[in-house]
Amino acid sequence: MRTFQEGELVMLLIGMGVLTFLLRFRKGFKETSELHLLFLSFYSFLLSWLFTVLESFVLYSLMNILEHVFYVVSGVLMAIWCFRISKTRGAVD
Amino acid sequence: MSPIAFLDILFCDSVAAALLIVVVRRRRIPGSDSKVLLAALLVFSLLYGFFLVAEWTGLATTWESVEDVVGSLVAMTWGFFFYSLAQEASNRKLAAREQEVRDSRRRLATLMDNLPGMAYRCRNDPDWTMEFVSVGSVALTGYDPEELVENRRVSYGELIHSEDREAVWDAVQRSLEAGGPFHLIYRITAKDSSDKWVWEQGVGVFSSEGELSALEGFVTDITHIKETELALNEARRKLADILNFLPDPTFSINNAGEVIIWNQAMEELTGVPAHRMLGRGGCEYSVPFWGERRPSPADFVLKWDESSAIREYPALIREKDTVITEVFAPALGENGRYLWIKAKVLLDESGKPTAAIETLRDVSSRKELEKKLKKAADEYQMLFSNLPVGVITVDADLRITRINREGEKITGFQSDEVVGRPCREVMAGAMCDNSCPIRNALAKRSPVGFVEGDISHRNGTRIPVRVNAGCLFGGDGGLMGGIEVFQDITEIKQLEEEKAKIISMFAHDMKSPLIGIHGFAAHLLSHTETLPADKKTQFLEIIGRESGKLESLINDFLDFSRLNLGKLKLNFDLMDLSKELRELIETFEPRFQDAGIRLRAKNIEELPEIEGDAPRLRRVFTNLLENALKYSESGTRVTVEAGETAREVLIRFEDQGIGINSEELPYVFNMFYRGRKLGHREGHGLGLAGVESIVNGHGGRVMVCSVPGQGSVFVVALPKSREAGEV
Repeated sequence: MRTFQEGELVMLLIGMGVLTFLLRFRKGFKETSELHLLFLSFYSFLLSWLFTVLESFVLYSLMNILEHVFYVVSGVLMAIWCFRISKTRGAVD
Repeated sequence: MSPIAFLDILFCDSVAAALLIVVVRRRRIPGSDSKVLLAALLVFSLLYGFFLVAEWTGLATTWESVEDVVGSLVAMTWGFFFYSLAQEASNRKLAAREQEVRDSRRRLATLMDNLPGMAYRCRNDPDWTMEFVSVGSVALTGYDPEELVENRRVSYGELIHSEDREAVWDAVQRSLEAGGPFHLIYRITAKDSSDKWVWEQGVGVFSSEGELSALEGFVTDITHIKETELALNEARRKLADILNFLPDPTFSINNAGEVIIWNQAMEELTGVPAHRMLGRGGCEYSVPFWGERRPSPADFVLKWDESSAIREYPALIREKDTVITEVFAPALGENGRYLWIKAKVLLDESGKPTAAIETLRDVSSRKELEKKLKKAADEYQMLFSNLPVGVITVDADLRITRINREGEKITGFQSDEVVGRPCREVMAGAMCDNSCPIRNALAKRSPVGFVEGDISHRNGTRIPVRVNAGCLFGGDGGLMGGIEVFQDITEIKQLEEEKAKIISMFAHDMKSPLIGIHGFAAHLLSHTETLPADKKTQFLEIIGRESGKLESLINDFLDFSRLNLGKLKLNFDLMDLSKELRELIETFEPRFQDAGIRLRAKNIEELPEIEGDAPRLRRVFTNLLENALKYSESGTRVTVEAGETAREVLIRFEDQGIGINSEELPYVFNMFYRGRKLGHREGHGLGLAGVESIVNGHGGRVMVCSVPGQGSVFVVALPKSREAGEV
């Protein structure tokens, strides 16, 4: 168990704000190619921040592991997304 | 190395790879702001990853607060990145819409420029002040749009033909009040002063408050259509004039069966004016003819139905797209009229039926004439066929063209055997070579009459004929041929022979008593003084007896002749037939007794009184009794028997005398006929002829039957009254 840090909560809140924005203007991204990969990458980041906050309260080890696993998932998905859109010229247009 | 550290390093590697891709392939990464933000996101993420790794290298406590700051930057960069993506997508949509609008405007401009007319937006004022005019105005009015907009040079209202301005204004205002579009056809005067017909369609444009803000519409040049329409109307008017001028009643129907033409002659024929019939369908046009609706030949040329057509018009003849028939229209006129009808389908350029035209002709007069002509021909044929004389007609080459029934009978040839053959082959008469009457008539061009000669029957028999011949002239006076009338005069010739024979026999019969009278008279004259008185008396008795015979002969002959000629007048009166017969039998009985012949009367009493000439009937009965006495042998019997029927009294004279041969029976009533086996018996052959003449003169008849060697029976049938005799 580690002590709760306010900075982690701030990250989570900002992430929740971005999530709210996404859900509100989801239709505006319809034309972005491979959007699901980008969203999954963001959701993974968001989960990591959630687990970062939770690890201060319950199941530290598991939460910590999950936090870092989702960081990796997020990074890998982002890399795949960047790779795919770079191969599809004008995909975002 | 702990698994967490491994995961963090893996995270850093992934992010670094992504950043590398973005950097290396930045030109292929779309967007501008979002691309920068993506790079920033990756940089911050990588930095954040370094801090995560740093936690495991002992630097965590030093950089922990910085890590949270970087984490917050990452979160915010996600937000900015997403915002940028959304913004760029929005911009792209906007750009696409703008492009769409530009394309639409370009298409609209192209459309406007290529419209065959002028699109406009104008105010609802008497000048029709234009706010927008398409370039089509140049072709339509001759003015550029700039010259028309805001009435800079001329207002559109001024272009409208002065005669049409008011009508245009009224029509537009009415449409605006009704809230609908307006469609107008009117004239404008173009810049070059030419008048044009235009068609306009427009609509009022209203603001959200319901205020009329403008009129928008389209005007196009229809001058050529209007001119075509005017030319078409002119052509139709001319056609109608021509049809009206036609003497034959004519009407036309369109594909829907509606009357489109009903000419003046049709009005006169039916009494139905055109305005009452035009546009009517459902076969109403047939009512004036038939008294009911029924398809006319025009309907059948439009839609051919053979079974119906033949049922309705049995005499209908179809030739391609035309039908012709003759019918009796019972409802036309007082007693109906005969009509000759011709109907034809009218086709459009593609060959499709568009209408049908039907023309009629009243042929009642012709029909009546045909009937009269047929009747006259029949009468002529009947007359020609039934003439009691033979008739042949020949052409100018003397070839037979016709022969009548009597002619067939006389020549023995049938009509079809002789028509076309030379006359001389058929007639084959003695006159053919030198004195052919018909040839002479044709040569002289005048009739040749009453020539007697003979012709040859088919079976070779020579037949005496009496011939009249004449010429046949055509209507133009030209010689067409000749006609020969020939009468079989065989009977006339026989009668002439008979007449000569009768005269000869009469003279011969008169000669015997005359010779006796003459001889005794001459002897008396030459020996007047020497002859003793008894001789003189004897001679005078002989002369008296012979004179009596002569007188009797002459009386019989005269009676016979007069009766035959109808000059002898019988004196009819009521007579007691029983009394006459009784007295006659009483008179004859002594003579029969002297001859040894038994005379018997049977049923002669109570005979009814009849109307008759008593003296002449007495001569009839006397003659028959004289004959019975004359031709019966001694020991035989003669019976006079009477009877009656409802209308006649029958007196039967039966003897058992020598009888008459069956070959001679038909001639026993002929004048001067005497049987061949009469031997020494006296008779001059006038008795039975006189009997028949007198009985016939009473309206009765006399009959005979006989068996040679067994006797004869003569029956006199006399009518009870003259009326019965006439019946």
